[in-house]
Amino acid sequence: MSHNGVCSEYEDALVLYHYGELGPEDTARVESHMASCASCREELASIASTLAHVPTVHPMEWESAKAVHNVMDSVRPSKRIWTSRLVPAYIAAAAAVVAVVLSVYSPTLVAMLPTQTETALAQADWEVVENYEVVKDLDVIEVLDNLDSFGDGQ
Amino acid sequence: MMPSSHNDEKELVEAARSGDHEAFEILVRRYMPRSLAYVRQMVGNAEDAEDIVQDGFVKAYRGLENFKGESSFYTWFFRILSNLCLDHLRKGHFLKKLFFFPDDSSREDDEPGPLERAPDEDPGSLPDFRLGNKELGAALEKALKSLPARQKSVFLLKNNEGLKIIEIAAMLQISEGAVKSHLVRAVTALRKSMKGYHVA
Repeated sequence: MSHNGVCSEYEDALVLYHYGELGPEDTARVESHMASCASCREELASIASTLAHVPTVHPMEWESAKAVHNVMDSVRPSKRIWTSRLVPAYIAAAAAVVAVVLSVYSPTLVAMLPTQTETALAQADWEVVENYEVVKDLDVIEVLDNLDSFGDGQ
Repeated sequence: MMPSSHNDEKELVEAARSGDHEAFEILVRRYMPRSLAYVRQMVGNAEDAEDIVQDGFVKAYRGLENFKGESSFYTWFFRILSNLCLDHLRKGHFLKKLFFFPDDSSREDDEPGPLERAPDEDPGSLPDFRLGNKELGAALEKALKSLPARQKSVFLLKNNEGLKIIEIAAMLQISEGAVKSHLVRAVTALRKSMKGYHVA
Protein backbone atom coordinates (compact mmCIF):
# COMPACT_ATOMS: atom_id res chain seq x y z
CA MET A 1 0.00 0.00 0.00
CA SER A 2 1.33 3.45 -0.89
CA HIS A 3 1.56 6.41 1.46
CA ASN A 4 -1.84 7.85 0.58
CA GLY A 5 -3.70 4.63 1.18
CA VAL A 6 -3.90 3.55 -2.46
CA CYS A 7 -2.51 0.12 -3.25
CA SER A 8 0.66 0.90 -5.19
CA GLU A 9 0.24 -2.06 -7.52
CA TYR A 10 -3.07 -0.58 -8.70
CA GLU A 11 -2.01 3.06 -9.08
CA ASP A 12 -1.22 2.88 -12.81
CA ALA A 13 -3.98 0.39 -13.49
CA LEU A 14 -6.59 2.75 -12.04
CA VAL A 15 -5.67 5.45 -14.57
CA LEU A 16 -5.91 2.99 -17.45
CA TYR A 17 -9.13 1.55 -15.98
CA HIS A 18 -10.61 5.05 -15.92
CA TYR A 19 -9.93 5.38 -19.64
CA GLY A 20 -11.21 1.87 -20.37
CA GLU A 21 -7.79 0.85 -21.62
CA LEU A 22 -7.28 -2.36 -19.63
CA GLY A 23 -7.72 -5.77 -21.19
CA PRO A 24 -10.58 -8.00 -19.94
CA GLU A 25 -8.38 -9.88 -17.45
CA ASP A 26 -6.89 -6.76 -15.90
CA THR A 27 -10.29 -5.11 -15.79
CA ALA A 28 -11.70 -8.06 -13.85
CA ARG A 29 -8.70 -8.00 -11.50
CA VAL A 30 -9.10 -4.26 -10.76
CA GLU A 31 -12.85 -4.53 -10.26
CA SER A 32 -12.43 -7.47 -7.94
CA HIS A 33 -9.85 -5.53 -5.93
CA MET A 34 -11.96 -2.39 -5.74
CA ALA A 35 -14.89 -4.35 -4.40
CA SER A 36 -12.92 -4.81 -1.21
CA CYS A 37 -10.71 -1.68 -1.19
CA ALA A 38 -12.32 1.63 -0.27
CA SER A 39 -9.07 3.59 -0.83
CA CYS A 40 -8.81 2.48 -4.44
CA ARG A 41 -12.48 3.26 -5.04
CA GLU A 42 -11.89 6.76 -3.68
CA GLU A 43 -8.77 7.08 -5.78
CA LEU A 44 -10.67 6.14 -8.92
CA ALA A 45 -13.40 8.68 -8.10
CA SER A 46 -10.72 11.33 -7.50
CA ILE A 47 -9.04 10.57 -10.86
CA ALA A 48 -12.37 10.90 -12.65
CA SER A 49 -13.20 14.13 -10.85
CA THR A 50 -9.85 15.81 -11.60
CA LEU A 51 -9.84 14.79 -15.24
CA ALA A 52 -13.39 16.05 -15.69
CA HIS A 53 -12.08 19.54 -14.92
CA VAL A 54 -9.26 19.53 -17.48
CA PRO A 55 -9.99 22.52 -19.72
CA THR A 56 -10.85 21.96 -23.33
CA VAL A 57 -10.44 24.50 -26.11
CA HIS A 58 -13.28 25.31 -28.49
CA PRO A 59 -12.19 27.63 -31.29
CA MET A 60 -14.77 30.18 -32.39
CA GLU A 61 -16.56 29.46 -35.64
CA TRP A 62 -15.02 32.50 -37.33
CA GLU A 63 -11.53 31.40 -36.24
CA SER A 64 -12.01 28.04 -37.90
CA ALA A 65 -13.51 29.66 -41.00
CA LYS A 66 -10.58 32.07 -41.28
CA ALA A 67 -8.09 29.24 -40.85
CA VAL A 68 -9.86 27.14 -43.52
CA HIS A 69 -9.75 30.13 -45.87
CA ASN A 70 -6.01 30.59 -45.27
CA VAL A 71 -5.30 26.92 -45.91
CA MET A 72 -7.29 26.85 -49.13
CA ASP A 73 -5.62 30.09 -50.22
CA SER A 74 -2.27 28.33 -49.87
CA VAL A 75 -3.19 25.22 -51.81
CA ARG A 76 -5.35 26.58 -54.64
CA PRO A 77 -3.17 27.21 -57.70
CA SER A 78 -5.74 29.64 -59.12
CA LYS A 79 -5.27 31.82 -56.08
CA ARG A 80 -1.53 31.83 -56.67
CA ILE A 81 -2.03 32.97 -60.25
CA TRP A 82 -4.35 35.67 -59.01
CA THR A 83 -1.70 36.75 -56.52
CA SER A 84 1.02 36.75 -59.16
CA ARG A 85 -1.18 38.94 -61.35
CA LEU A 86 -1.19 41.45 -58.54
CA VAL A 87 2.59 41.85 -58.72
CA PRO A 88 2.58 44.18 -61.76
CA ALA A 89 -0.14 46.17 -60.01
CA TYR A 90 2.14 46.54 -56.98
CA ILE A 91 4.95 47.74 -59.24
CA ALA A 92 2.60 50.23 -60.93
CA ALA A 93 1.47 51.49 -57.53
CA ALA A 94 5.10 51.92 -56.44
CA ALA A 95 5.86 53.86 -59.63
CA ALA A 96 2.85 56.11 -58.98
CA VAL A 97 4.11 56.83 -55.45
CA VAL A 98 7.56 57.72 -56.83
CA ALA A 99 5.93 60.08 -59.37
CA VAL A 100 3.92 61.82 -56.63
CA VAL A 101 7.02 62.21 -54.46
CA LEU A 102 8.92 63.69 -57.41
CA SER A 103 6.14 66.13 -58.20
CA VAL A 104 6.07 67.33 -54.58
CA TYR A 105 9.80 67.76 -54.33
CA SER A 106 10.35 68.94 -57.93
CA PRO A 107 10.93 72.69 -57.01
CA THR A 108 13.80 71.61 -54.80
CA LEU A 109 15.16 69.35 -57.46
CA VAL A 110 14.80 72.07 -60.14
CA ALA A 111 16.55 74.56 -57.85
CA MET A 112 19.42 72.15 -57.62
CA LEU A 113 19.79 72.11 -61.41
CA PRO A 114 22.04 74.82 -63.03
CA THR A 115 20.11 77.78 -64.47
CA GLN A 116 20.47 78.98 -68.05
CA THR A 117 22.68 81.98 -67.02
CA GLU A 118 24.86 79.69 -64.96
CA THR A 119 25.17 77.41 -67.93
CA ALA A 120 26.10 80.32 -70.21
CA LEU A 121 28.70 81.55 -67.73
CA ALA A 122 30.15 78.14 -67.43
CA GLN A 123 30.37 77.98 -71.20
CA ALA A 124 32.17 81.37 -71.33
CA ASP A 125 34.57 80.23 -68.62
CA TRP A 126 35.32 77.18 -70.62
CA GLU A 127 36.02 79.27 -73.73
CA VAL A 128 38.44 81.41 -71.72
CA VAL A 129 40.26 78.35 -70.63
CA GLU A 130 40.35 77.09 -74.17
CA ASN A 131 41.63 80.48 -75.41
CA TYR A 132 44.13 80.52 -72.62
CA GLU A 133 45.46 77.26 -73.86
CA VAL A 134 45.62 78.70 -77.38
CA VAL A 135 47.42 81.80 -76.07
CA LYS A 136 49.89 79.57 -74.29
CA ASP A 137 50.42 77.64 -77.53
CA LEU A 138 50.88 80.89 -79.47
CA ASP A 139 53.54 82.06 -76.97
CA VAL A 140 55.44 78.83 -77.45
CA ILE A 141 55.22 79.20 -81.23
CA GLU A 142 56.44 82.79 -80.98
CA VAL A 143 59.41 81.70 -78.87
CA LEU A 144 60.17 78.96 -81.36
CA ASP A 145 59.90 81.46 -84.26
CA ASN A 146 62.30 83.84 -82.50
CA LEU A 147 64.76 81.04 -81.94
CA ASP A 148 64.33 80.04 -85.53
CA SER A 149 64.97 83.56 -86.89
CA PHE A 150 67.89 83.89 -84.51
CA GLY A 151 69.33 80.73 -86.00
CA ASP A 152 68.76 82.02 -89.51
CA GLY A 153 70.55 85.25 -88.62
CA GLN A 154 73.55 83.28 -87.50
CA MET B 1 -22.14 21.67 -54.53
CA MET B 2 -20.28 18.51 -53.61
CA PRO B 3 -21.78 15.19 -54.60
CA SER B 4 -23.08 13.20 -51.63
CA SER B 5 -20.52 10.44 -52.26
CA HIS B 6 -17.88 12.93 -51.13
CA ASN B 7 -19.11 12.52 -47.58
CA ASP B 8 -17.10 9.37 -47.38
CA GLU B 9 -13.59 10.18 -46.18
CA LYS B 10 -11.79 7.76 -48.46
CA GLU B 11 -13.53 9.22 -51.48
CA LEU B 12 -12.74 12.72 -50.29
CA VAL B 13 -9.07 11.83 -49.95
CA GLU B 14 -9.08 10.16 -53.36
CA ALA B 15 -10.75 13.17 -54.94
CA ALA B 16 -8.37 15.60 -53.21
CA ARG B 17 -5.43 13.52 -54.39
CA SER B 18 -6.60 13.90 -57.97
CA GLY B 19 -6.73 17.68 -57.59
CA ASP B 20 -10.29 18.27 -56.36
CA HIS B 21 -9.88 21.30 -54.10
CA GLU B 22 -13.47 21.21 -52.94
CA ALA B 23 -12.97 17.70 -51.61
CA PHE B 24 -9.86 18.80 -49.76
CA GLU B 25 -11.71 21.81 -48.37
CA ILE B 26 -14.35 19.49 -46.88
CA LEU B 27 -11.59 17.59 -45.08
CA VAL B 28 -10.04 20.85 -43.87
CA ARG B 29 -13.41 22.11 -42.61
CA ARG B 30 -14.11 18.78 -40.93
CA TYR B 31 -10.89 18.68 -38.94
CA MET B 32 -10.09 22.37 -38.46
CA PRO B 33 -11.81 22.92 -35.06
CA ARG B 34 -10.23 19.80 -33.50
CA SER B 35 -6.85 20.64 -35.00
CA LEU B 36 -6.91 24.20 -33.68
CA ALA B 37 -8.02 23.01 -30.24
CA TYR B 38 -5.32 20.35 -30.01
CA VAL B 39 -2.47 22.52 -31.30
CA ARG B 40 -3.53 25.50 -29.19
CA GLN B 41 -3.27 23.39 -26.06
CA MET B 42 -0.01 21.88 -27.21
CA VAL B 43 1.81 25.14 -27.96
CA GLY B 44 -0.08 27.45 -25.62
CA ASN B 45 -0.98 30.30 -27.95
CA ALA B 46 -3.52 30.89 -30.67
CA GLU B 47 -1.30 32.60 -33.26
CA ASP B 48 1.35 29.90 -33.35
CA ALA B 49 -1.40 27.29 -33.34
CA GLU B 50 -3.01 28.76 -36.44
CA ASP B 51 0.33 28.85 -38.27
CA ILE B 52 1.10 25.25 -37.32
CA VAL B 53 -2.35 23.98 -38.33
CA GLN B 54 -2.12 25.81 -41.66
CA ASP B 55 1.34 24.41 -42.23
CA GLY B 56 0.02 20.95 -41.33
CA PHE B 57 -2.82 21.07 -43.84
CA VAL B 58 -0.55 22.37 -46.59
CA LYS B 59 1.93 19.56 -45.84
CA ALA B 60 -0.94 17.05 -45.86
CA TYR B 61 -2.18 18.36 -49.21
CA ARG B 62 1.27 18.10 -50.77
CA GLY B 63 1.81 14.69 -49.20
CA LEU B 64 -1.52 13.15 -50.21
CA GLU B 65 0.28 11.08 -52.83
CA ASN B 66 2.19 9.35 -50.02
CA PHE B 67 -0.96 8.68 -47.99
CA LYS B 68 -1.62 4.99 -48.46
CA GLY B 69 -4.93 4.89 -46.63
CA GLU B 70 -3.74 2.32 -44.10
CA SER B 71 -4.92 4.58 -41.31
CA SER B 72 -7.67 7.17 -41.35
CA PHE B 73 -6.93 10.58 -42.82
CA TYR B 74 -7.47 11.99 -39.32
CA THR B 75 -4.81 9.71 -37.76
CA TRP B 76 -2.38 10.46 -40.57
CA PHE B 77 -3.03 14.19 -40.39
CA PHE B 78 -2.75 14.34 -36.60
CA ARG B 79 0.61 12.60 -36.87
CA ILE B 80 1.76 15.48 -39.07
CA LEU B 81 0.32 18.00 -36.60
CA SER B 82 1.88 16.29 -33.58
CA ASN B 83 5.30 16.28 -35.22
CA LEU B 84 4.96 19.96 -36.10
CA CYS B 85 3.97 20.76 -32.49
CA LEU B 86 6.92 18.81 -31.08
CA ASP B 87 9.28 20.56 -33.52
CA HIS B 88 7.85 23.93 -32.57
CA LEU B 89 8.24 23.24 -28.85
CA ARG B 90 11.78 21.93 -29.34
CA LYS B 91 12.74 25.08 -31.28
CA GLY B 92 11.22 27.28 -28.57
CA HIS B 93 13.01 25.28 -25.92
CA PHE B 94 16.32 25.60 -27.79
CA LEU B 95 15.94 29.38 -28.20
CA LYS B 96 15.00 29.82 -24.54
CA LYS B 97 18.01 27.76 -23.52
CA LEU B 98 20.20 29.80 -25.86
CA PHE B 99 19.07 33.04 -24.22
CA PHE B 100 19.04 31.58 -20.69
CA PHE B 101 15.28 31.80 -20.18
CA PRO B 102 13.80 29.14 -17.91
CA ASP B 103 11.54 26.83 -19.87
CA ASP B 104 9.68 23.64 -19.08
CA SER B 105 7.52 23.44 -22.18
CA SER B 106 9.41 20.72 -24.01
CA ARG B 107 11.69 18.90 -21.67
CA GLU B 108 12.87 15.48 -22.65
CA ASP B 109 10.22 13.03 -21.62
CA ASP B 110 12.44 11.04 -19.29
CA GLU B 111 13.40 14.19 -17.47
CA PRO B 112 11.07 14.78 -14.51
CA GLY B 113 9.05 18.00 -14.66
CA PRO B 114 8.50 20.37 -11.76
CA LEU B 115 5.28 18.60 -10.89
CA GLU B 116 6.96 15.22 -10.84
CA ARG B 117 9.96 16.56 -8.92
CA ALA B 118 7.72 17.96 -6.18
CA PRO B 119 7.82 15.79 -3.07
CA ASP B 120 4.73 13.80 -2.19
CA GLU B 121 3.36 15.91 0.58
CA ASP B 122 0.72 14.91 3.02
CA PRO B 123 -2.46 16.58 1.71
CA GLY B 124 -3.20 17.65 5.26
CA SER B 125 -0.09 19.85 5.33
CA LEU B 126 -1.11 21.79 2.23
CA PRO B 127 -3.39 24.84 2.22
CA ASP B 128 -7.01 24.00 1.92
CA PHE B 129 -8.23 25.59 -1.30
CA ARG B 130 -11.79 25.24 -2.42
CA LEU B 131 -11.79 26.08 -6.06
CA GLY B 132 -14.64 26.87 -8.34
CA ASN B 133 -14.67 25.16 -11.72
CA LYS B 134 -13.05 28.20 -13.33
CA GLU B 135 -10.13 28.36 -10.90
CA LEU B 136 -9.71 24.62 -11.00
CA GLY B 137 -9.63 24.70 -14.80
CA ALA B 138 -7.01 27.48 -14.71
CA ALA B 139 -4.87 25.56 -12.21
CA LEU B 140 -5.10 22.42 -14.35
CA GLU B 141 -4.29 24.41 -17.48
CA LYS B 142 -1.15 25.73 -15.83
CA ALA B 143 -0.18 22.23 -14.76
CA LEU B 144 -0.89 20.93 -18.27
CA LYS B 145 1.41 23.57 -19.77
CA SER B 146 4.30 22.41 -17.63
CA LEU B 147 4.05 18.78 -18.79
CA PRO B 148 6.83 17.52 -21.07
CA ALA B 149 5.80 17.79 -24.74
CA ARG B 150 5.33 14.07 -25.44
CA GLN B 151 3.34 13.52 -22.22
CA LYS B 152 1.16 16.49 -23.05
CA SER B 153 0.56 15.21 -26.55
CA VAL B 154 -0.42 11.74 -25.35
CA PHE B 155 -2.63 13.15 -22.60
CA LEU B 156 -4.49 15.55 -24.92
CA LEU B 157 -5.02 12.90 -27.58
CA LYS B 158 -6.39 10.50 -24.97
CA ASN B 159 -8.27 12.78 -22.60
CA ASN B 160 -9.54 15.50 -24.94
CA GLU B 161 -9.61 13.76 -28.32
CA GLY B 162 -10.76 10.43 -26.89
CA LEU B 163 -8.42 8.34 -29.04
CA LYS B 164 -7.52 4.78 -28.17
CA ILE B 165 -4.02 4.00 -26.94
CA ILE B 166 -3.39 1.89 -30.01
CA GLU B 167 -4.35 4.86 -32.24
CA ILE B 168 -2.10 7.25 -30.31
CA ALA B 169 0.77 4.78 -30.60
CA ALA B 170 0.29 4.65 -34.37
CA MET B 171 -0.09 8.40 -34.58
CA LEU B 172 3.03 9.22 -32.58
CA GLN B 173 4.93 6.16 -33.81
CA ILE B 174 5.77 4.93 -30.33
CA SER B 175 4.90 1.67 -28.59
CA GLU B 176 1.60 1.15 -26.77
CA GLY B 177 3.61 0.63 -23.58
CA ALA B 178 5.24 4.03 -24.03
CA VAL B 179 1.82 5.64 -24.58
CA LYS B 180 0.49 4.07 -21.38
CA SER B 181 3.56 5.20 -19.47
CA HIS B 182 3.25 8.80 -20.74
CA LEU B 183 -0.46 8.83 -19.96
CA VAL B 184 -0.07 7.56 -16.40
CA ARG B 185 2.77 9.99 -15.72
CA ALA B 186 0.78 12.91 -17.12
CA VAL B 187 -2.31 12.08 -15.03
CA THR B 188 -0.16 11.58 -11.92
CA ALA B 189 1.56 14.94 -12.47
CA LEU B 190 -1.76 16.75 -12.99
CA ARG B 191 -3.27 15.20 -9.89
CA LYS B 192 -0.17 16.05 -7.88
CA SER B 193 -0.64 19.69 -8.85
CA MET B 194 -4.18 19.51 -7.50
CA LYS B 195 -3.17 18.08 -4.12
CA GLY B 196 -4.65 20.15 -1.34
CA TYR B 197 -7.46 21.40 -3.55
CA HIS B 198 -10.93 20.10 -3.01
CA VAL B 199 -12.07 18.84 -6.36
CA ALA B 200 -15.83 18.65 -6.34
